[in-house]
Amino acid sequence: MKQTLHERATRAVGGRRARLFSLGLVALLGGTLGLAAMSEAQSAVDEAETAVAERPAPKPLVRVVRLSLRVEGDGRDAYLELPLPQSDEHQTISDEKLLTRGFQVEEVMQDGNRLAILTYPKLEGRKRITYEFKATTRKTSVEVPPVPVPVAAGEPAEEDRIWLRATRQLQATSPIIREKLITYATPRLVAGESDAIRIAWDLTHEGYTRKAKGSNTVLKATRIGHASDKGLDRLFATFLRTSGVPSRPVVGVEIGKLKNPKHASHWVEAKAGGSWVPMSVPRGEYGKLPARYVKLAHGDRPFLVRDGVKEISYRWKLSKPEIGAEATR
Amino acid sequence: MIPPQRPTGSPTNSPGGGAWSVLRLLPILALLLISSPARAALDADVVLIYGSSWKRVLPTYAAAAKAPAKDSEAAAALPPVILWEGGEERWTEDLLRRLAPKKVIVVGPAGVSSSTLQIPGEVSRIEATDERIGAELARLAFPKGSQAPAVFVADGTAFAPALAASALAASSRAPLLVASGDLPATVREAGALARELGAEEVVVIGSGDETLLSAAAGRRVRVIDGAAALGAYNRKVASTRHLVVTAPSDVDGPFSPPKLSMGSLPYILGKGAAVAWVGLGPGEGRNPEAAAVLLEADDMGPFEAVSIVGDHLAIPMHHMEDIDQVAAGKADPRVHKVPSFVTQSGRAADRAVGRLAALDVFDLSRWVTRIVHGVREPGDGRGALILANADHKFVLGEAISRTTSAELANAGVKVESYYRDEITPELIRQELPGHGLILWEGHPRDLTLDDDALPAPETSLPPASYFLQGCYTLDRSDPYLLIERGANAVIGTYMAVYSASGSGFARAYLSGQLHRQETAGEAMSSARNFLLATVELKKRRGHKDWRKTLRAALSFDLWGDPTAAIPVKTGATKKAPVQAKVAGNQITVRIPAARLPRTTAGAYVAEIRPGAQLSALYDHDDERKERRLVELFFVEVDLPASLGDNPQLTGPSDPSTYAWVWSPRSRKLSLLVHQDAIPKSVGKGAATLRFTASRGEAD
Repeated sequence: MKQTLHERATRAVGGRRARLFSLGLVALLGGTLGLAAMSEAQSAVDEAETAVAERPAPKPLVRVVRLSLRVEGDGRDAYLELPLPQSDEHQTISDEKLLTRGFQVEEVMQDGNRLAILTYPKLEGRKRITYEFKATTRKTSVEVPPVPVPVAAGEPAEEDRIWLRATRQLQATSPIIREKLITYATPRLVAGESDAIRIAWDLTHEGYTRKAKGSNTVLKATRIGHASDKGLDRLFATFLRTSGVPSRPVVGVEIGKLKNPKHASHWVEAKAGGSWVPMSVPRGEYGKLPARYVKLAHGDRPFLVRDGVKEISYRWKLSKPEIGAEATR
Repeated sequence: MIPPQRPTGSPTNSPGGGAWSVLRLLPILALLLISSPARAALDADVVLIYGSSWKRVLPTYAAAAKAPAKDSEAAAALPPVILWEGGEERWTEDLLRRLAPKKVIVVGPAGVSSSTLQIPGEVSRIEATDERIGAELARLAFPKGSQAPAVFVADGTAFAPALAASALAASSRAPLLVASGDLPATVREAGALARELGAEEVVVIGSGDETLLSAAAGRRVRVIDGAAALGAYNRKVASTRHLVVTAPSDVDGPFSPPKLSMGSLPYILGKGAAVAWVGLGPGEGRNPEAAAVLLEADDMGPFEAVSIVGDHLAIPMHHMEDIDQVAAGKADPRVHKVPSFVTQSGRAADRAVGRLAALDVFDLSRWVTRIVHGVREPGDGRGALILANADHKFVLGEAISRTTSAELANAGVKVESYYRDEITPELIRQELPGHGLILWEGHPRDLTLDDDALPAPETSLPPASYFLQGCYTLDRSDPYLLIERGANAVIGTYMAVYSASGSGFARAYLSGQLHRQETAGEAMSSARNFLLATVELKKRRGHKDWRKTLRAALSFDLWGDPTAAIPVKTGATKKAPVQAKVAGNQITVRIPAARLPRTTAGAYVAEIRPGAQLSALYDHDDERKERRLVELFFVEVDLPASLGDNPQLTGPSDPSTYAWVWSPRSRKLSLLVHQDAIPKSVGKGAATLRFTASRGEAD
């Protein structure tokens, strides 16, 4: 395992502190502090509308997503990292509201993630934090360009290094993982196949039994032969890194049905042809991400990074956006 | 212990047609005649290298090397050379803090920032492309007139010859340049450097036309191949008894090759060890055993210690079908790894062997630094921690484990022992970092991954030894992660091990370190021989379950330096241990009267003398409803050549009360004596048992 997440976050906050957005009770990211995101969002909506004008496209999925966090302190300095979704080709994020109720909050960019760093000195008792945003999402489906084995001679590009490292959950340099991959890949390479992404995909798909209570950790899954959905995602990302393909697990939230999700969702992004493409072995989505998912953050990190907190729980609430008095068509 | 080094220049005994023909020796002899070593090197307490490009790393080793101290075993004195890249900051910083360097040199390509790494002391940087780094290092490390004996040039076409060139250059205190496509240009630069330094020649490792290259260099140029360079280095350490084998093929391949062979050089030089390639490619398919025998046939060695630097993918291990399952007629028996230098038939172990297997060369560079330079701090615990039978299932093993705790205490070691429910995640989290020796006995757990609800210590670990006595503990992630976080050694298994045999092995291992001052590798060897002798004793006594003891004997392996001393602080031994001596053909085993404190676990009871051993043998005491563990007395002695290569023993009592295993190579006899060999008239007092050795018929 390499550098820990919390340590990375500490370094990020220390080295690249972004914007202090509120010392009070309410922070409205859509106001003065979320202008860049709003501008991006508007641009994405405009582009989407242009595309609609050119050819019929599936109607975007629009949801208001609310996350309620219950944080219980025991007198220590509480620290929380809350991932904030960003607008991109798959999703447009707008109307963000963050109610911090006494927590100090700073927004930082770390490894491409937008994070709210929430702190509360000597937190005693329970506090609630509420974060709400509107998500407009579209189905993503891309052709995944093959990445030939060996991926690249010499040292990787600087921006890719972080997505090739072995980490706590992605033990890409472990001989246990390398042996599994080499044993599987060698006959296929001999047979003329060369796509590192397809080989890693097939190995994860064929080499493990999918079980709801399978292992989440790649080494144990490799030892016992079965893995949970999260374990399969991690295995796939791990095999990609072992092969020299930059990869990163993604944490998101499912917003398709108006049933409140109980857990975060997971998938993987692989870098192919210079772009990040979504993949999910357990869902069988190769270069696809349905509109029902909103991406929150990527990397070998839990959904919520925390320190100095006795207990934390959260729940999601989904709703359709309210329609105002003004008529639309 | 490794015997004193043999003086150089001893008569050669090279077999005709061996690895070294007379023709191949000529350039080596010429290299040995090179003038006295230079005194230049990088002025640094620590050298940090960014990345793992061998064209950057290998010249740095050469530039960092200084002459070893007169009483040192080293072939060259390198400061700690640590490789790092993004993601390695945490453990690298911890090691740097322990080293507390005043001067640090950071080597890497221009434009790579080390701002994420907190480096103590005065930091200077040497930045250049891989094409220019060798020349830049030479300019800084070897000032004009520093009289380097030669300038070495690796032709840059392959890694293995360059690795040999780096070993040769470092041990000669001479610069190394690595060509990047244009060999004549690099040789021309080397020639200019040679003139500045006063070096008489340029030595190219690889291939090329000497005449043309000499013209380019304006200096005498000799061209030798990688094997000759490796041989030249080995002749410089001809008196060593320590061999390091590594697989240069582990720098290549599409799936994150670990490049451990690249990180082996500071260990090789620091130990003054001979070196041989194994594995695929440059290793020509050799395994470690074949490499040792080949070099010994070439008048190197004999090698009492062998370090294997590489994981099991680069340096494959033997495999065997589970002997218990085969005997039971199972159609598809499980296949196990078998440690190198261990024979499936159970021949006596006769070398101190250890493996240095890490996740990658970054972890290895820190591990080698810990081994070679020692990074123990006053705050590091020097005592032992025993965690046994957390699952309540291994009562017999726990009984033995409790005697091991008593044995350590008897030898003046501060020891803390916890059993069953005393072992909690909080306890492990709290205690794991504070000891020099950790003995885990029971079901394997992922101590480092939170995988099975035990805690993962997120802090760095002190340079401790971890004895993971359980099933398949080396087939898991723990060893790699413990090494990554600061451990110096991990001992574990590749097979399922019954608790009594496993705990008996651990006890025998520590007895060797405590009472005979054995190194880690020697203690492994004697503990293995204890179990192998137990197999023979069980056969003599008609026990049919000897296979599970044999499987345990074949299971254990050491990941670490086989020449390392015991990692805990010992004191005066309170009660004398079992001892033996040889006079002529007489072996005398002295068994003291004083016993360690009585220990119990469930129905099992042990009341044994210091240095006595235990296995899965016990007597029923129906009256007390106890199971009393049988005392076994294990000694190892060297026998004179007059007793031949198949000595036989006769003892003072029935042959079913003793057994032995014998190594013809080391002439060491490992004798195991059952408590029934003690005459009943002795009672609980001290005993002296005499055995007579004679030449065997097969000799």
